[in-house]
Amino acid sequence: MNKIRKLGNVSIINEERVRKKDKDNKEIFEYLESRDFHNYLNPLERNEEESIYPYIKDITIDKYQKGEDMIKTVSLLHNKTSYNKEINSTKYKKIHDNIIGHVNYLDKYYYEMLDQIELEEFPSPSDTIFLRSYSKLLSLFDFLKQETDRWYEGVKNKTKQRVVLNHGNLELDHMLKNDKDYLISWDKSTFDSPILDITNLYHKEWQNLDFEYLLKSYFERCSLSDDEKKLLFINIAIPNIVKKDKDEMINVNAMRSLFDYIYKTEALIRPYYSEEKKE
Amino acid sequence: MKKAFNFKKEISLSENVSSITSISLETSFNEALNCVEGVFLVEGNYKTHELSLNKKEFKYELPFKETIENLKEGSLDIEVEDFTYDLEDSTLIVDIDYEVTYEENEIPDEFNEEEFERFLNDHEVDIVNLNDENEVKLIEEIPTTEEETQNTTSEEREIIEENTDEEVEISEETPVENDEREVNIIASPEEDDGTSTTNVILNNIEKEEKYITYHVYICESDDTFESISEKFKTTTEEIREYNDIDDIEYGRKIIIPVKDE
Repeated sequence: MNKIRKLGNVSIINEERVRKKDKDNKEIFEYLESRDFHNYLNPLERNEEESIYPYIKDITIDKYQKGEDMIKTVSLLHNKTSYNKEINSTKYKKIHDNIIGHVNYLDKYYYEMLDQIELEEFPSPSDTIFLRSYSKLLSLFDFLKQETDRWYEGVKNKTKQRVVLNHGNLELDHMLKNDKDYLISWDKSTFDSPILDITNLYHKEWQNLDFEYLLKSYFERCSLSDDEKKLLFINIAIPNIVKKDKDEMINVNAMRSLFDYIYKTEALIRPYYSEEKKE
Repeated sequence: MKKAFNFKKEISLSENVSSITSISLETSFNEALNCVEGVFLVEGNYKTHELSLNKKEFKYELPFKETIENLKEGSLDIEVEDFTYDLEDSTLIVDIDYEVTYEENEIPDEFNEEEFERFLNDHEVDIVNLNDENEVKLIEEIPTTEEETQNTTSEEREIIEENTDEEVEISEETPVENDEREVNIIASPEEDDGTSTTNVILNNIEKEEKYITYHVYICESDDTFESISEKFKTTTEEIREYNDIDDIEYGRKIIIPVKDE
């Protein structure tokens, strides 16, 4: 009698093997071995489009503890794969323009939402939440544009960028704790600024983990430059787009979540800006 | 042999379902005559609303049955390669790909069907059902020596001589003389090379001649060397020797010698 358990696009067979449709990450794993980083899972075999991995039971007890262990493993990954890369003079300009362009888009999107809501005689509960906190959105957009310009001023003449191998898909479910920590799901790995991994992790787990502690822990292990920190704070402060659903309960939840995110992120990064002001 | 099958089933869930949070598939099966039947057990959890914190469990047994021709008993195995699922308006659609591995029944080499048919055509043969206990008992009681011949009952002799061309009057008191008796089949040791067969071979022999009687037995599923040797009053070693086999298989025809002197 055999048993197959499905978790997303992964099939767990008899709690012994795991079958997953993914890319062939052999080169990435060989690179990690060469850099003396062993916290990944080697496949047992590889077919055309899928890999067979050994089943590793995740023995996590507490998610906060897992988050701390994850940050330690990610710090190790970034430290072991870090190097300075020559960059094009337009590279930072592109980043700057992309951020400004996206913030302007969000500004316009939510302004149009406000326009629509103001036409309604009786705004819905989700619209009420939006109306009440819209000014917070406006001040956030101003902050983001201002900080992006300041960041660009500091980096526009730089010709090198520190890059690391980013996992690219960090979330609590993508680390298994057993005899050691295994980072899994490497399909989106890429060489880029280390803030990419931290930003992704924050977007996925901001409600589940204590990022005040995690950021401190990461900065102690992987010292980021002031420019890198500034860009990280800008990226994590950018809010999501909330799209209207026909279910009002979902709309209320989404709207509440949007502003929770904004307030929580502001509280997270404020201490760093206070320090900067003191200096 | 391998055969691939696909099983697809739509399951109407008892209430509105927003998403399936977990799902697993277990397979149990058993062999039947030339078919395999079993159950796919699909279980997991679902949420009734996107924002629900509570998860509800579901469990469904999906029976399946497939015909497998000429299936050899005890040789079947099933492996589920993969399954996919989809949720459409609170209907769970399960799609299962599975592979059946099995062996087909073979005719043992030492018992060639063509040869057997040829032998039947060349000899007059009594067809007796050796799996019928009454008939087997009756045959076991047939005397194989002259002395025993004298003691046989007329009823037994009637059975023995059922297919004889000549009618032979039998009297209980009159001992049968071997020379005069018609026999259905005689297999002499010189002729016997282990491949001549018949359903029942009687021997009515002269004192000086040695003949070997053979039974042909079709093995049952619960037969063993020991049970067969006990039934036909022979030994396990002899059965193995005459048939050159290491084990008893369901449906196999084996030669069981009964030596006469």
